[in-house]
Amino acid sequence: MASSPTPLRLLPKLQPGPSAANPILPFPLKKGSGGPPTQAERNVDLLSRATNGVTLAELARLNQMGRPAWLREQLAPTAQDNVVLRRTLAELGSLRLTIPEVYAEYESNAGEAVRDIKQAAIVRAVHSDWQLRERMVDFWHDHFSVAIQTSGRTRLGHHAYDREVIRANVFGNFETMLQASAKSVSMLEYLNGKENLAGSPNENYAREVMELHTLGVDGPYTENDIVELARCLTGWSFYPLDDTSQPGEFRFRDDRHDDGPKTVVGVQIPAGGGVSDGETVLTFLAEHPTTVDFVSRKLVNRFVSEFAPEAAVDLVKAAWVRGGGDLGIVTAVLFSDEVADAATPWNDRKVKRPFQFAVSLLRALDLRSDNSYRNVMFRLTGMGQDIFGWPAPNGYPDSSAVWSGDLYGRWDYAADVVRGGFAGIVFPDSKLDEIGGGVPTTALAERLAQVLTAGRAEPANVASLQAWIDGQSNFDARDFRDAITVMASSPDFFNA
Amino acid sequence: MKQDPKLNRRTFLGSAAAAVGAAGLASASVRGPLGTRGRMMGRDTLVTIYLRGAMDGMSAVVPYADPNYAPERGDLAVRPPGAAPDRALDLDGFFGLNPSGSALMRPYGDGQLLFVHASGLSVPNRSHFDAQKRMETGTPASVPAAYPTGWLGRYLQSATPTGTTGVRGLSIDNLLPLTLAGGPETLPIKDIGDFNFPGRAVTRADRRDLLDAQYQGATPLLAQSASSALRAIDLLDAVDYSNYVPAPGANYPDTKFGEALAQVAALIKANIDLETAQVNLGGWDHHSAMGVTDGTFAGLFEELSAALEAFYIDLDGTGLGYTLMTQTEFGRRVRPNSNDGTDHGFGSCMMLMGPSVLGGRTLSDWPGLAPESSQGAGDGDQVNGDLAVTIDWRDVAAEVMERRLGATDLAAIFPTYTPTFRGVVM
Repeated sequence: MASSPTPLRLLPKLQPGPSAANPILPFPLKKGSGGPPTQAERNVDLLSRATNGVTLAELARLNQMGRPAWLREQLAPTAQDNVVLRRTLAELGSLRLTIPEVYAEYESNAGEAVRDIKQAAIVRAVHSDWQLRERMVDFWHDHFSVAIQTSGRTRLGHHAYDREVIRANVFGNFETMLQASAKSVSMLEYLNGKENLAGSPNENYAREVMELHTLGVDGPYTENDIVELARCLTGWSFYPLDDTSQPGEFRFRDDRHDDGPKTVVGVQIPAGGGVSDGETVLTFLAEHPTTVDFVSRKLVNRFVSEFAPEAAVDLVKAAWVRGGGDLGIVTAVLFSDEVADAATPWNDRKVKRPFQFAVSLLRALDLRSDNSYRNVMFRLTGMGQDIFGWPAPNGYPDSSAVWSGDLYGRWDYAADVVRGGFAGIVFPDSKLDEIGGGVPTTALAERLAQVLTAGRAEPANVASLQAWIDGQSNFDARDFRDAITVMASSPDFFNA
Repeated sequence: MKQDPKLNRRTFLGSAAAAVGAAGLASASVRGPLGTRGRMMGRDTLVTIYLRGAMDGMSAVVPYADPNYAPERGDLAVRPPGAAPDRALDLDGFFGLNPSGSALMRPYGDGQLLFVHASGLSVPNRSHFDAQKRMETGTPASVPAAYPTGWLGRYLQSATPTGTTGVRGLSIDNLLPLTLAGGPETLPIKDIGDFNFPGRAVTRADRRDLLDAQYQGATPLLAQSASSALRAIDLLDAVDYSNYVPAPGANYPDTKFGEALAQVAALIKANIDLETAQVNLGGWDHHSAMGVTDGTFAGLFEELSAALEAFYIDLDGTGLGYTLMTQTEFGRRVRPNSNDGTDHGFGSCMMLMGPSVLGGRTLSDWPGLAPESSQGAGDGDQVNGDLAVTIDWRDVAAEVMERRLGATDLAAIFPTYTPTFRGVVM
């Protein structure tokens, strides 16, 4: 991460935090509870938005470090991954390969490569120490969405797309990511860019890049601008995936390019510009104030609040402009106290999408997989979020209204995981002792509220669960699991 | 052979009294709680099918007799009806059906399938997402609300529930489409055959009650959704879809879409007072190599047609009232692009099917396909290279809502629009 840390507001000195060994933090947060949140509450709020699920261990670290230091650390991930992550990723054979090797070795078995890259997304979301990076990767995959199942090329190309387009730029520059996506096998294949020829342009990518990636649907462009941009991008293609020297590399086909003059959104493109026609317009689009507004708003909607006031969006836009599209700076401000103060996300918590729901349960209970989450991957399809599988170029929806619709899929998943019958998830009874943390059965619901919601569960819900626990004669391991299932199916766990 | 709609109507009503007794459908393996009233005595169940990605109406219902069709469509033109294979199936001397949709000829011949051509949004909009949003919200302008409501959602808000089962609307999908957003007692169900309260049987009732109470105190979005889900679980437990056998000859395609339509038919036959159901069929964004009577378009159209025919057969003669309506966000450009595909256009074709549909014909105020001297010149029949829209889709939907679902407040469904009824249903 190259960007300099954005100045974050200095926090008042933190009160002594709870110990990592026994972090009991009873601070119910509920909508309309009135007063400003405590520092500890703000820490939970930050983790709920900046990670794929709060864990008590990560919360203890954050409580020690304070939010500015924690954010700075997350914004500058090192190449070092923890051992669990490395070992689990190592089980996914195609991830170790170079891009030409993926093409060569998996051409007849693209499905296996697809499963590997999908599972890798889960493995990283569960185990990576660089949680903020994984959250942002998820966002940018939606923003520059490519349906992996489109064709053999998109199946085999997604390793490169994930690594070189999205991950490489997630704290880099927006324009770099935009240009990289435009020149990728995946995007050229998915939105018909490689079929966009002089004399008869294919408008598909030209439309979506302005509507979805940059200006937004209400942006200042016309149907004619779409045609003109498509002309600029004629001849953009890639070398075959089995090319001996440059497999899958971007290739500009001069013979297919419309070299006449064009005008796109007021930008004059003189004749004879070749590949620079498209590059020039993409640069212009990346820097356009409407793009800054559109994408900043989308980021705030995803990571802060669906009801954020303009003041919160303005802070992110200002950071974007200040850093010239540096996504490290944008992300730093997005998760800053200033933006949180303006938007009060703790009052409007978002409903977790299935991916975050599935991952957050595994993280909260500290569960591992013995088949690198293959069955979690399959189950996510049934829960409505097949990884990289959204068919349209607008990415998975990001609305609590949409994702509160089908609660059943997530209830079913939670019940299966917690019962211990979910293939590939290891959940022996011995794990229950760890989750119970040594508290007596009479305090178990409160303990589960800590483990699963970092103390944010509604007191009434904790009380009703405790009453049920108290009512079981001979409370045993199966009852214990049922109690976890209830907490994991509750509205307290559905909200991020 | 087209039946006289009036005769059809009489026959239909005449069989109704007898059918009430059989509403539990002993013939089909669906058992279910009897609705408070038989469907035929009250409102139709509205089944909407959203064809996402913008279906090419002119490849489906071919205006072969328009003199500009073949020259403008070029290699993608379906050839006029004739003896040779791969020809359009004649409908009325002007329009013909893509032969991949031949399964539709049965409901069409029975007078229960209507095509509404050159229909769509009132204002061109070539963005899939924006056009879908405008259509699904039922308002011409984009909607700024954080949680916009859909036109069918608002219908459900404004109408008295037909029954008391607690499940008024659903989509056979993982997600609730925007069309149904805001609808009370409305939810998405991916698979009605696999919708049981999960977990250990001995604690199931306890856990169900705990969650029921917890969600009542949750945010309105979650509270309503949980209530719908729990009531649907109870209801579907009684429907026993796993033993459902469609009527003889109702051969649903073995696809997600075919299965979804079979599930809707089963729910209608279970007589549970379901008011509306939506099913999506995506994949119509044929920018390249779409084919004519064979290929990616034809394959998808064949799947759609086969599923509709199966649905028709499944419900035919049951006396159960339904109206099925297909929608798509827009049609495709008249002229093909360089990749033997079509880019985003404007007018397309809707379908209406059901016992009360005035079908067996194509309703259209056909605008013609004469090209402009240059795109956007306004001197031809086309609009910026597209088929024009001469029937606002809301005219069709509003008529169905008023006449078949008893809607009394069309302004709640389609604010700022006064629909013109076109005579699409009895």
